[in-house]
Amino acid sequence: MRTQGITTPRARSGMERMEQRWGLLLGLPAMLGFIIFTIGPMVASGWISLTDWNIYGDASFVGLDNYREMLTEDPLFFKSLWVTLYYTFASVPLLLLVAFAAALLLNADVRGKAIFRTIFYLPVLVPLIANTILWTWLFNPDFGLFNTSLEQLGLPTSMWLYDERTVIPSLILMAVWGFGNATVIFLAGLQGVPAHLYEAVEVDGGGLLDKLRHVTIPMMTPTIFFNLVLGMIGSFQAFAEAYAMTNGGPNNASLFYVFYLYRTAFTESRMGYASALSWVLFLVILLFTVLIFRSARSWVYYEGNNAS
Amino acid sequence: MRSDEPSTSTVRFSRRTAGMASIAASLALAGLGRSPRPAGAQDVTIRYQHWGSLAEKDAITAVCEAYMEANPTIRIDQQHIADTDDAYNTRLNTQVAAGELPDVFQINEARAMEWSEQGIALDLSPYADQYAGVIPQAKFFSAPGKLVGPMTGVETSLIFANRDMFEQDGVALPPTTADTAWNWDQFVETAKAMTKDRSGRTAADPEFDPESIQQYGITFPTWWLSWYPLIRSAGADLTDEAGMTYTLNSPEAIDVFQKMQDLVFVHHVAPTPTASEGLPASAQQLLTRRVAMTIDGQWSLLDMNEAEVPLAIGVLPSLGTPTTVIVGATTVINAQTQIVDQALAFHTFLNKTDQIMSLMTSGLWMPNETAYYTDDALIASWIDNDSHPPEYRTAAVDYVFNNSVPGPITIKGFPAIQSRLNAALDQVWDGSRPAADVLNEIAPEIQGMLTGRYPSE
Repeated sequence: MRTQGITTPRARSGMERMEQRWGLLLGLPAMLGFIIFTIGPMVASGWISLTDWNIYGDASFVGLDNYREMLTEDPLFFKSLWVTLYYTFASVPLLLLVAFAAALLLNADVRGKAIFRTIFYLPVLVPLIANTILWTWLFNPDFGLFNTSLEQLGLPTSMWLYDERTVIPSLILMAVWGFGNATVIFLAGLQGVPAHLYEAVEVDGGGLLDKLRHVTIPMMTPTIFFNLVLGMIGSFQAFAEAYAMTNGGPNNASLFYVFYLYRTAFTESRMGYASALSWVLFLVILLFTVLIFRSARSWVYYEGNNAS
Repeated sequence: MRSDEPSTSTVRFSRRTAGMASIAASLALAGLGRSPRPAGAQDVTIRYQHWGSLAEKDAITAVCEAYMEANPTIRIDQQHIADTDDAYNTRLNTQVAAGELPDVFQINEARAMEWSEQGIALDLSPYADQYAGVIPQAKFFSAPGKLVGPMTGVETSLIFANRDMFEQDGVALPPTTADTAWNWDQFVETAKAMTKDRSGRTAADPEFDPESIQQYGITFPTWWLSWYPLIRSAGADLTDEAGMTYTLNSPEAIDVFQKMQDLVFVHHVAPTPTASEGLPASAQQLLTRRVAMTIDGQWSLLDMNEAEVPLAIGVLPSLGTPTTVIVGATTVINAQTQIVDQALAFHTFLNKTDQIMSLMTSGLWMPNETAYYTDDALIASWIDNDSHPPEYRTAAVDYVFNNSVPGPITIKGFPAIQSRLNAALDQVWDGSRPAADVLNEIAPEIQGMLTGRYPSE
């Protein structure tokens, strides 16, 4: 698009203009989809968040009242925000760590590599709701596999999902089990680490740990960064666990923000307030994403791009 | 919607004309009411939405088909949602927002009253005489005299037991008449006798190992179906008569919740209640002998029969006055429907027991008409069959008719109150805090949500 300087008007009206037109045309479905199904509803929800619309009846404009109520009168807002932050900041790093370790192992030249890769990826293929039901049974304190096994080993049992203190750690355990996706992305990243760098470490007499510390991890930072951002956004939007497993309980200890938002909108029919909640979530995610991108300057290394 | 350009296809034009014609036809038909229609009259489609298990769906499909057979110009577009209460409510809400509500739809009773107040559900008072035979406790009113609808199917809270397990151990089955109901100690004693560890010792045995329980004596749901009849039996309630004062922290109410918590953590005769809700339905729990008794809704009879559980039913324990609840969602008519008369005719049909007998004989619903509780021949017409055990007459029919109170759903704003209350009660069910602490702590919050009660007539 910055090529006007070197193209003559005639040339532009020819090939390039046609390409431009085609480009726009082919991009249109995606752009229209984005405008109609994402930007449109966002604008609408921004407006609705300034009203007291409750599905029935007429909505009246209440200004920033919903936001004020949220910050001053709604203990569940802070509770759900806290639950979500706790879950996010515990599960995402743990998941990345496990996924990274698994990727390193799966990248090694061992026999049956393909089979191991398949096995580790398998949990990702279990549909989300089937997965939650399965884990609900595993976590059952009276009949579940976990407690039965612990009992037989003579170890103390847990209430898992049914205790305010252990519900989030239990859900984190379940989330980490689904590390396969991140592992695949890490594996792809590992394939791209140039072999000559490892050779250089060997020449300098470095061992495995040196390779990891001075080559693998630095070269993998863009992939780690990518997984971190995706994982964080995903877990900020955690919903199915609360919806299908805990109903936000016990005593709202797993009241994920999006689940609270859903309940406000569809159980209590308070669309105005729910829209306000969703805008705050958007801002919170935006804030953390910006922070991560900022911090990336100091720890993410792109090969052949010294300036960053 | 711009005006048609000349170039637009005739297809669209004719489709629109057809649409207008059908609206015109349905308006015309609405005017005609139930009188015979001229030959070739346009069929009317009634969109009817309800929830329930697959067995419920089949039972209701049969009823819809019978209705269409009797009324050839009516088509019932049955929409069955096999999902939780929450998901069904979500669907209704989005349908309201989109202006796509069905003509006739099932709805939970608390929401039905709100929707009647909002004018979304049709006020049925002008047609009250159509519902004159309905049991008084089974009618909902959103304002004095403003009829929301009758309970579609009447339900109640009962004890279900695996008969074989009791007979093998020589333990007496749950009592089957209200006046012989267990007191709490007798109930706990039986639950103990039916709870066993892996070495086969019962919970009454001093050697009993609560860490390795193989079979539980009792399970109960955590929603008000289980605890509300018990607190009413003890003379307590969630609020006062007017629905303006919170009373769930009365000594009687606290005592009931503490007793229920003790079933799990002191007597070890029940699994963690919140956790057992994630388990397969109570029919499977009884069938697999993991549980000997369960408190559940009458509707479970259908699933129990399908699963071929060797079933016995009984009345709830009594803490003073033998009491159960009368429960039931309602079915309302969309106030915006274009086909009021047809919808009304179908709605009345759904509320005439003799027209929908298969829903009763299968064990799914109980009738909502008084005569089916008072007239021996009519009672026999719905309970003399394989789905209803012999003790059903006293343990369910007489029990609900003579000993039931309506649920707490007539308290205004109950859905939101319930959501807060359930979250707090989690601490009772997980054993983390004594009932008194929880019920006292939540008092100011629930008190702040109380705005009164809907009338009962």
